[in-house]
Amino acid sequence: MRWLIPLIGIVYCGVLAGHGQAAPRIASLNLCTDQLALMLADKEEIVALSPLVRDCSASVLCHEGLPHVIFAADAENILSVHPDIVLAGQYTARTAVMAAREVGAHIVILPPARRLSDIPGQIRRVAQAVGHPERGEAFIAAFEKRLRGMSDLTTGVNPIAAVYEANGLVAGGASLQNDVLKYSGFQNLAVRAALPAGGRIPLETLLAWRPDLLILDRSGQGHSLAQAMLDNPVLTEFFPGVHHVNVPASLWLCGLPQTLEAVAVLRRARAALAENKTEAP
Amino acid sequence: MLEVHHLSCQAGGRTLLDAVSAQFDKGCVTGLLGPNGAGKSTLLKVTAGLVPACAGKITLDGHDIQSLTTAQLARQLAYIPQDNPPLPAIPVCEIISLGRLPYGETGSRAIKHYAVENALKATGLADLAQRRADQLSGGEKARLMLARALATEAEIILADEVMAALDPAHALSVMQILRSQAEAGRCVVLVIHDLLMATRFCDNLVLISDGKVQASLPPADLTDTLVQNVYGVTTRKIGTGLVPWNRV
Amino acid sequence: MTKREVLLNSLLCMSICLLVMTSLLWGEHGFSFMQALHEWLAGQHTAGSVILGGLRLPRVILGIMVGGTLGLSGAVLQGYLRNPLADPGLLGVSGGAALGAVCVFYTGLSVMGSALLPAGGLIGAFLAVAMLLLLVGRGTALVLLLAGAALSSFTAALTALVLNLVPSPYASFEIMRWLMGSLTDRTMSDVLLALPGVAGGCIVMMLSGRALDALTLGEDVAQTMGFHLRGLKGVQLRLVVGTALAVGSCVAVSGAIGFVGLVVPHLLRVVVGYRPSRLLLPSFLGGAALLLLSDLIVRVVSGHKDIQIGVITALIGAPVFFYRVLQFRKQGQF
Repeated sequence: MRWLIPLIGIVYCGVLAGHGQAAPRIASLNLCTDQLALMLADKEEIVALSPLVRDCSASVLCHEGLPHVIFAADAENILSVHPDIVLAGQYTARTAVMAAREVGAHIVILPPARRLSDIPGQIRRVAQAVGHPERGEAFIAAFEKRLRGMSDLTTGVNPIAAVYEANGLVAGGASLQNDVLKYSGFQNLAVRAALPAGGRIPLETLLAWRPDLLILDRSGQGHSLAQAMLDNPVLTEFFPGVHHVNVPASLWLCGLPQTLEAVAVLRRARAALAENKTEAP
Repeated sequence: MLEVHHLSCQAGGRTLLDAVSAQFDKGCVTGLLGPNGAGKSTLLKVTAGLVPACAGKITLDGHDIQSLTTAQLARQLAYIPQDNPPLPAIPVCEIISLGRLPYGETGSRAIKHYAVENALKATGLADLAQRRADQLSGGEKARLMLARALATEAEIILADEVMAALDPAHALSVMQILRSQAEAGRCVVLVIHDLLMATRFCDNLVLISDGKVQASLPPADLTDTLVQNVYGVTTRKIGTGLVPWNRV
Repeated sequence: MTKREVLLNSLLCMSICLLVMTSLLWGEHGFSFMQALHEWLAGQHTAGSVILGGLRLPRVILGIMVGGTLGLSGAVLQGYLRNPLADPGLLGVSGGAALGAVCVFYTGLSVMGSALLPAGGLIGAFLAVAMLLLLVGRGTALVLLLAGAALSSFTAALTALVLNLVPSPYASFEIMRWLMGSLTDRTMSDVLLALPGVAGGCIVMMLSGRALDALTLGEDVAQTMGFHLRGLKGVQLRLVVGTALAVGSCVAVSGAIGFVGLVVPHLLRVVVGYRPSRLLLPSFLGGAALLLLSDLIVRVVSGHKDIQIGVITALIGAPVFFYRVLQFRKQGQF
């Protein structure tokens, strides 16, 4: 029976080779890679995406995600779609990634983007992995052109802003939000006040620091106490009019070309603040 | 005067009372006699308003008690149940003062009320006024429940086997208290099993069996035959009373 | 009221005042109290005035309302069931209220009308009390505790289920908030939402003192003394409605805080004795004081971590429960 083993080997290699010539099967396990895949790969190449991609509060491409197969990122699901390329985040779905590696899929792991300058690199990696580097370069060129077109606001004494998220969390210094604030011409309260990273900030502390701008970062559907904290009447009373602004979480939850839209929103808010200041006295 | 007219009561397909009529006079102790399950306790409960009657009417001095409010009835009528729940750790005088609740009196005003003091004296509990009720002996508890009823100053006292599980001395003292209350003008109705006590302390006896009144008569008229019909035992006369002797 | 009761009540009132002042003055952020008070009364939105009037004041008011309600309903339930282990938390009443509130809040119904939130809590609490009384009937202390344990684990499981099924990604992490309770970041609108139910329910419960006294002599005697138990005018329905109103409204804004209703009457009985009516007012005041103290501890200890207030009350209350268990073993009864 020994002769059977090499025979099976040959047949199996043939099958794999046959696969290689067809369109690659791309599976994504993470919201950020989901969106990059939707932007860079052909629709029919994508075999599966993670559930959050359809949630418009978290994903800028929620409508594009609709026709695709959605699965919870576990090992069994990922094996069942026979992917050639698996895109994953650094911290999520470890077991699923391991399983995909076992069956020989090409794995691309993206760390979370912490700066705007991380974004072109991430686009490039995914574009190369899915076999459309030229699409990636086009996005990158447009991104960098838009960024260059924005005036430099990073120097000088800037107003203070706090990014207030569900559960009373404040975006810390090592986050993409922090970099967006910097480019928009704001100082991040969390950095300025040396607030513990990723910690929950008592409302009292927030009020006592009185940042010039409160950025409400709503993410997630539905209703919860965590989300209701953003609707606290004390906040609307204390940060009236131009002193608060809503930034959709989908813009900066992942490092995407659309993240620059968040910069634009905040720059407008900064201009409104400045205008208000000159009017007030 | 308390009268019941053609009272009937059914529960679970069983007839508990079957057109019972009786009359309970003021100044009298009326004993309800009869075997277990005859309907004596039911008669008391229906009279006290605890169990609804299917038919019949209860009148108090000629007025239907249906026309009285619950508060009015509570001031006219005190009920002492057969078995009491474990008493709380409240001083004796406070338990007795609960008898003033139908008048809306509570707290120290109720405790200091003369009716409470009278009740304490009448039941011989004056020395135990500050004792916690849960620490009393069985006999003391029986007297306490009686005192609570007296504090209501109700004209009518309905007592259901208050002497069960009491030693002869305590049974005697409870009977004497009830007797003296009747002599003070109240109407006392009690369920009693001790024939000797019944014949000695009651002014009138109502014999009940199978939910029907078999006889209503003064103790002197109680005969061997009647007792035999009601209880199914033969009796022997000792002094003025009858004592059960042999089962037939 | 005896001298002793007057003394106790004024002592409790004084400690409430002291705790209120401490809660208003102490916090993460220091500011001039008088200036902040002045600014708040003048309607200015300075940091001091908003922290004082918008954050600390509603928290303190809610502490009094919720603590008082829990203490009082504990005393009332213990009196009615003639069982010193009765407590809205242990018996699953708070759990039912939390379930009702969760059903309304997380499905977004409360957006349609904010009054729907306390209404949800009220309905949940009402169903829980009604189910409890049906289950227990005239059963013993053991039956009561078993029924309570069954009800509270059942409602907790359903609450967890609802929180896992609703769309919000944060909901499933908020189970502790509902099962342990918290007064953190509550606002004046929460106070206004809970106030009608708390006021109505507490008045109904406070007025039940005489009936509870009469009930110490047993149901039959109480009834012949003019206190009807069942039926539309009955004591039972009054208490069910009163507890459901007050506890339901409280739990809807604060979550289910346990053990207050158990501990407070237990400790106060040493002073005022076992008569149920004497226990009502002190239990309200004592519950308020205990919850204010617990909330102060939460604020001092927690810092940037969010500790649930129910954890503190459980740490205070569990020893009392242990003591009761030992007593039960010794005497074979409560």
